[in-house]
Formats: sequence, C-alpha cells, structure tokens
Amino acid sequence: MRLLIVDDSLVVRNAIQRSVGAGKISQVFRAEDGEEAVSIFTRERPEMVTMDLTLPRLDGLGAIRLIRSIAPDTSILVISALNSHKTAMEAIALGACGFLTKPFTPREISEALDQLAEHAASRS
Amino acid sequence: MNPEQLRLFKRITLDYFAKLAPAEQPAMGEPHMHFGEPELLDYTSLIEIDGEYQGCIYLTSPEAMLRDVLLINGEQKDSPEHLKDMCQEFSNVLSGNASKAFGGNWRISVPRSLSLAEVRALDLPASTFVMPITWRGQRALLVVGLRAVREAA
Repeated sequence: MRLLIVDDSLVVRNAIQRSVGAGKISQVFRAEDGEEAVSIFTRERPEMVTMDLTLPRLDGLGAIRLIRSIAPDTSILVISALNSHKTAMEAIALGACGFLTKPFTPREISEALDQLAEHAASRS
Repeated sequence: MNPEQLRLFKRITLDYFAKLAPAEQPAMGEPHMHFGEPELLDYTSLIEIDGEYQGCIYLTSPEAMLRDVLLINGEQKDSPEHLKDMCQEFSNVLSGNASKAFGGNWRISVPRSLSLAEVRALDLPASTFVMPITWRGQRALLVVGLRAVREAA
C-alpha cells in the first residue's frame, strides 16, 4: 500500500515518514499544501493519506473533501495541532478515519499509521 | 488576556515538553506585559488568530533551543531551513493546542517568519503578554496578543 503525507512542516513530514513500518507501506509521497496534495493524489491514487489541517493554498478539510470526491474509500488520518472536539468531528464527518493531535511521540504516530494501514487493508 | 488564558498557554507549553522530553521540563518565567522595543531572538514565527478572538501569537527562539527541539522531535538535521521550520511548527502547535480551550471557533493561520520591522508593525492589543520559556539553559519567548471580537469591534 502507498501513503501520501501532507504537512507544511518539513520536520513533521520527516517524523511521519520515519515511522512508516517496514513492509506495510511500499511507497511514500509527500505534499506541503492542500493543492499539491490533491494533485499528487489524483496522479498516484495512494490508498492512505495523513493530512494536516492548517495548510497554505488549500486547507486540510478542503483537500479531504476533494480527495474523498475522487476516491471515497481512501483511508485518511488527520494529524493536526488543532485539538478541539469540533475540529475532530468535522474531519470525521468528512470521512477521516482517525485524528492524531500534535505533538506526537514516535510510538503514537507508529500506532496511528498501523491503524491507518489496517483500515486501508479492510477496504481493499 | 486574562490570568486563565495565561495559565492555558503555560500548560500547553509544559504539555509539549512533557510529551517529547518528559525528564526535562522547561521553567516558565513570570509573564509580563509587552511594551517598548520587542525582543527578537534568532528565529521568530507568527500565527494569526481569528474567530471569537483575534490577534496573534508569536514565538521567538534562540538557535540553540531550536536545535534541541529538533532533536526531541527526532530530527537529526539542523540546517537553517530545519531551524526555521521547527520554529514555525513549534508556534503552530502551541497556538493550535489552544483551540480545545477557546472552542471550535479558533482559527489559526499557517505560520510565517517575521523580521524585526514586521514585529514592530504588528497591531498588538494593550494586554499582550510575553511568556519566557527556559529550557536546557536557553530562553525563548512566547508572545500572546489576543482581543475578544466584541472588544476589537
């Protein structure tokens, strides 16, 4: 399975990619903003996406809407510093399957990615 | 800003380090009013706030502290690009984590780096506070300037 990491922070993109489990994810794509995310998604159609919410050009919720309109079965994990219940509910309502609040530990992101992979596998 | 909001940002900062460096908690200095010439350190990142509160939050940090914050985030590289990114992400997390307390109508901008001239030009409310964060012998400043919308109108 393939993963698209969307975050405007280089440090966060690197942290997520370091936690990608060996053997579970065959290829990783990276995007710095919502528009780039949708562009890469349209071209590559990865099964899984990690999505930040506060992004330049097109925000995370807007990108999720577009991705879900292209491929409704995509497994999307939101990873954001915004930690309000309302924000999490908005993301879930749009079809995100999980929500991880920043900052995260290596263990938290690793477990979240495992769950994301299981979710994607259950849909394939 | 009121005492409860100040305590909130102090707790958010302590929680950040409690999660990523639990054995090394920062010392939070006494918050003080922001006036006069702003103090800027090596890297400065601003988040604009919109919603029921308007204003901004900015973090200004010495390079040495950001280098260590990169390390506790698992990042081995410390180029100027990484240091700038870490300052921006740190300010993003501290601002974003406040949304739980301020409610769902707490909108934050993407972070952007600031020069001294840009900081001088900020329209900060009179109640803007500076919160010193001392960690591993280095001192950063979290500056919080918020006004309720009805106050701003």
